[in-house]
Amino acid sequence: MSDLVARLDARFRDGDAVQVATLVMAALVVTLATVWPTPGQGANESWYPFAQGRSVFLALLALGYGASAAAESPRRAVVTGIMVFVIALVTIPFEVAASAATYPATPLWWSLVSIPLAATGYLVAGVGLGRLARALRIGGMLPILVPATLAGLLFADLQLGWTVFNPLTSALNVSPWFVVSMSTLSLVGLVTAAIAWRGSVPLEVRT
Amino acid sequence: MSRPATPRRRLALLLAVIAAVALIGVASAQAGGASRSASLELGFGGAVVADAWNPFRLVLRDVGPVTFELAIDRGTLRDGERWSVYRADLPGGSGLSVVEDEVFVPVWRSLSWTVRSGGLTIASGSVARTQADRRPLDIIVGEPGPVVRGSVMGGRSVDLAADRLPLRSAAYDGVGRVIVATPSARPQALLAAAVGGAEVVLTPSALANAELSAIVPAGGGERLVGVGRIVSLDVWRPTADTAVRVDQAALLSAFAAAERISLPRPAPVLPLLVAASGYALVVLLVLRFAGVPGVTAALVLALGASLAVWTPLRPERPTIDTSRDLVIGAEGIGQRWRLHERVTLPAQTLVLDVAGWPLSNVEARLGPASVAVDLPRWRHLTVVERPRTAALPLLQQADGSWRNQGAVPLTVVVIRGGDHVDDVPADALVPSPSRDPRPLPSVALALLDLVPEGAAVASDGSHWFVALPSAVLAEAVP
Repeated sequence: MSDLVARLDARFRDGDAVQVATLVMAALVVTLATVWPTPGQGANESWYPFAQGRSVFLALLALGYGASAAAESPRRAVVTGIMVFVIALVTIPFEVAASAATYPATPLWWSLVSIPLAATGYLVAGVGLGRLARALRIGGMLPILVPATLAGLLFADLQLGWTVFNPLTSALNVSPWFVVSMSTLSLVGLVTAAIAWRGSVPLEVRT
Repeated sequence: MSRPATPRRRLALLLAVIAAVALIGVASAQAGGASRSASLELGFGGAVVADAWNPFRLVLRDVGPVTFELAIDRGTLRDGERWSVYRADLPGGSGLSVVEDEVFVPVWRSLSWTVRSGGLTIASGSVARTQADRRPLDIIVGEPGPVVRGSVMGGRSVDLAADRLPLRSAAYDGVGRVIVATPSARPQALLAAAVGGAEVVLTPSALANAELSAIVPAGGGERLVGVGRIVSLDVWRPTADTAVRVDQAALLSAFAAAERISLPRPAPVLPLLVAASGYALVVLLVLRFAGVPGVTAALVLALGASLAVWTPLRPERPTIDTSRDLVIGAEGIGQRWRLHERVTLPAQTLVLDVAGWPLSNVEARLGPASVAVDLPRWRHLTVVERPRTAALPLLQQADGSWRNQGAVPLTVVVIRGGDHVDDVPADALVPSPSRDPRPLPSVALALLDLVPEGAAVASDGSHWFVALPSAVLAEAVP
C-alpha cells in the first residue's frame, strides 16, 4: 500500500501529469465558456455539446495513456491509470454546472457514472491496443492508432445504430450496453492490474 | 366444337348464378350495414368553420365499443405534415347512441375521420381542403321567408333543424347568426349561441313560443347576452359581421401574448468563467504540489464545487405552468377562455386534462378531456381550453356607470376612452378615478387596444374580464 502511495505521489509530480491535467482543465473551461448562452438567448443548451466534448476528450486521453502504459512497468501503468481516473473525476463540477443550468432529460447520475467509466474502459482498451501494437511491431504508429481506434469505434457504433463503445452518444443518453461494455473492460483491467501489481517488484526494492 | 348444353350443365350454371347473386347481395348488405352503423356530422349540417370550435355529432347504431378518430393535418409545404389527432373511446351498445362534443378545427390540409370497432373500420370519411373556410356561418332554423333568407345569402348559411342546435356555447364559436323561424327551438340553445358570440334573430313565428319570447325584452327589441345578442326580427337589420362581432380570437391572441412566462435567464458567462478558472487553478496546484494528500484534497474540492454550483444554476422546476382566464361578455354573462401555459426545460410529453387546443403549430394528441404534446427542451406551449359560459362581474348600469356585482373585489378597472380605477370593492359601483393610479398591467393595455369605445377591462387578480358596453352592439346597427 505504501508503495502505491509513493508511486502515486511521484506520478502526480511528474511533468506530464500536470501538463495533461492543465490541458484538460483549460480545454473544458474554454468549452464551457464557449457553449454557455448569452443573456439574449432563450434556451440554455450548454450541457449537450459540453458533455459530448468532455466524454470524447477524456476517452481519447485514456486511450492514449493506456496505449503508452503498455510499454511501462506494471506498477507504473497502474498509477498512470489512477491518475487518468482522478483527472476525469476532478472535471465533474464543470459538467454539473452545465447540467444544472440546461436541465436535460438525461439524469445527472448518468454523467457521473458514464464518463469516469468510459475513461477507465478506454484506458484498458488503450493498454490492449498498445500491447497489440508492440506485438505487431508497429508501436511507433501509436500516435496515429489511438485516434484512429477511437474514430473507428465511434464510426462503427454510429453505423450500427447502437451505443456500446461510442463516448459521443453515450454522454447524452442512458445506455445499458455502454455500461456493460465499459464495466467489462474496467473489470478486466482491475483484475489484470491486481495480478500485475502482485507479480511485479515494489518501488523501494527496485531502488 | 361446342357441346350442346345438357340439363345437368344448365342446372349447374343456374346454381352458380344464384350463388353469385346471393354473395353479391350479402356483400352489399354488409357494406350498407357498415355505412349505416356509424355516421358523423362535423360542424353544423356538415359546414365546418376553420380556426374555430366546431360541434360534431356521431351516431352509432348497434355497434359495440368503438374508437372515433379525427385526424387533422395543418402542416405546410415548408414545414411538412403536422398532425393533430382527436381520439375518443366510446361505449356504443345496442340501439342508437349519439355522441356530441366540440373539437377545434384549424385551417387544414387534410381532415379525415374513422370509426373503428374491434379492429375493423366501420365508417370513415374526409372533408376536402377546399372547404376550409374561416368565414362565420349563418344558421337558419325553420323558414324565415325570402327577404330574411336573401339578406344572409352573401355569407355562408346552412339550414338546420331546431332540435340540432347544441346547448353549449363553445359550439357557436364559428357562428355569425342564428335565424330562428320556428317555435320549436330551445331557448337554452339560443342563449348559448348568443353567449358564444352569435347574433340570434327571432322571427314572429318563433316569438309565438312563450319561452322564446321571454328571452327578448318585453315588446320586442334586442338583448345583449355575452358577446352576442338576441334580437327580434322587427328591429333587426343585417349588418356586416365585423361591426357586430367582437373579435374574440384577436382578444385571445393579445391576452396570450401579454405577460407570457419567460424562460429562466442563464447565468452570466463572466462570473462562471472566473469561478471555473479559479477552481481549475486550485485543483492543479494541489495536484502538483501536495502529492497524494493533494489528490484527496482535489477530489473533496470537486465534490464541494459540484454541490456549490448545483443550487444557484438549477432552475427551480422542470416545468413552469400557469393558467389564466379571460371572460368576454356583457350584461353579467360571458364566454370564459382559459389559457394553460407551460414551459418545459427537459424534453417531455406534456399532458393536460382539459379539452383544449395548442395555440402553436405542434402535433397534438387530443381527447374529450385531454391534450398531449411532445415538446422539445426549453419550449413554450399555450393550450386554449374549450370556452365555457361564465359569470361576468362588471355590469353597466342604465346611466352608463359600471358596477362590480361580483363577490370578489376588482384590482383594476379601466374603461376605454374613460377612467382608470384601482381597487373596486365587491358588490359596489365603480368609484371615481384614482388620484394616483398604479401603472396599467401589460394585459390591460393589450386588451384595451382591441375593445370598442366604452368597454371595460378589469381584473380581480386571477381573472381578466372584458365587459362590452350596452350601447356598442346597438350602435353597430345602422
